[in-house]
Amino acid sequence: MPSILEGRISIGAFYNPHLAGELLRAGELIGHLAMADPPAVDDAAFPYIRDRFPLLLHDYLGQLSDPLSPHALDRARQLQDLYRSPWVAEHFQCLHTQDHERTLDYVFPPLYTEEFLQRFEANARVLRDTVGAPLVMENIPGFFSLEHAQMSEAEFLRRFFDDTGCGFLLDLPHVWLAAHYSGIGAQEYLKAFPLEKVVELHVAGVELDRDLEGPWIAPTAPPGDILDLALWVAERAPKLRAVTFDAFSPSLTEETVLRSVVATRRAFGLN
Amino acid sequence: MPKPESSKSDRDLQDEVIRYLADARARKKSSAELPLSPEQAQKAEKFGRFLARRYYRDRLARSFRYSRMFSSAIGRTAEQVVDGEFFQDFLNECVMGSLEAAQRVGQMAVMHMSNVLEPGVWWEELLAYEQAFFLQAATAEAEPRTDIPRRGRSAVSCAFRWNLPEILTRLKSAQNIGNDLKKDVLLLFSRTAGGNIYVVEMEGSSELIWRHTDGARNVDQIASAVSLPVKTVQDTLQALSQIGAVVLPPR
Repeated sequence: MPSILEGRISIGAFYNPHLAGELLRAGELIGHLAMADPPAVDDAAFPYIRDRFPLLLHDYLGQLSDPLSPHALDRARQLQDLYRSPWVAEHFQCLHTQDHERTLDYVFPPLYTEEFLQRFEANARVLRDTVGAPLVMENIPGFFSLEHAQMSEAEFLRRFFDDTGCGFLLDLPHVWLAAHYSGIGAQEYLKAFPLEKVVELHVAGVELDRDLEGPWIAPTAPPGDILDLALWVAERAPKLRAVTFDAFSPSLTEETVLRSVVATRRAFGLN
Repeated sequence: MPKPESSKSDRDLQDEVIRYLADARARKKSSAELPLSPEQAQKAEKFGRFLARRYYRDRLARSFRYSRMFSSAIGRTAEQVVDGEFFQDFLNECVMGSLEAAQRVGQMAVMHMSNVLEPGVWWEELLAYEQAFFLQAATAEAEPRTDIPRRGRSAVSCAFRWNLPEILTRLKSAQNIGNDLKKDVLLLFSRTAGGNIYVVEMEGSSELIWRHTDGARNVDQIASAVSLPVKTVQDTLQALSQIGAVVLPPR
């Protein structure tokens, strides 16, 4: 199976099965594909995709604020067997209740407290040991704040990465939004983040949302602000291996994916 | 920031926040139980509405994907309902992921998609199929424990006069749908706790057993009502529980 080369930054995208043919025809443009969902049983293109691209396991494996069930761990192991991902990704999120009665079904950060830090560290170690591969964790933005935090997001992340040895998947639109809603610039917001732990970057667009009355993540091409921020981080992230255009949706077009990858490659001087 | 004195764990508090965000009626009452300033409570209200609209848009797009193939001909898609006026009222009241909310949104979608020049005489049945599928995709509530076999919360059986599974196959491969696909089929729609959705054709004894699994009869009573051996009923219920169609008492 193909792998991401050492010493080079791979620029890639998410696997969108409806664009499989276009991805396969994109030649050397796309360096890797991240997998948000397992391949469908009737996905005839997936064997070719797996032969052609290094795959990154980026599924929802479970929320690491709680212990993963044996079923979830088994599923994670099976996916890793299928993809042989150089690292496996999960998120700093807590989106469903412990009794599973309610879920937000979308990114939602935990309270940044000692209790949650311990929970994430313990459960991340179990997941990493189960899949037998390095684990990277992705930052999640908050839209509002509770008067309960015991530390900043940056301190939570830094302590987590120091304690566990996991890698950092830095989602730049998430950071951009967190900074925006905190009323400060993204570089300022990132100053205390452990950028030396970053292994992978996510880039994508942001668009105005009617309910939030402000910007939010969108499956659109990364704007100049995000790509500039990516370069700024890359200069401070010696372990960076991959930059991924983070969009997967049945409505996503070939044009958006390829334009986003080309723009990202150009920003990194790879075209 | 100092942590307020409380016997509640942080994880329990996070659960309260999740419930608050998922339940519009809870947000209407008060945020006094949560460490939220009035300004942040306003932002949380916006975020709750954002989450619900996003959730139902996504589930409608996934569930009404066959009718979507006719969007350019009929000028509509099911997910357009989340941007309509009625949806504002729904967002003021909904409990995201509840069966009741899924039923309301499913009905809105079918109404929206019904008032069109129908692409075929099977159109109404296709929408009914997608509505039943949507009910599974948009219901995320956990199943309560039970002492007696009962149906899964969102599980539903639907009788069709057209062979819907074959119609879907033909739609996918852009083939014509003729009267040769007129056939009575009974389909069971269900979802597992892990979120896997199943659509299976039912006939014979499984249909009988499903019909009599009403949450009032135990296994022996179901067997007696359908005149089948207890072992047959047990095996069928076990198979139905694996696809989330029935919930069995813990062993």
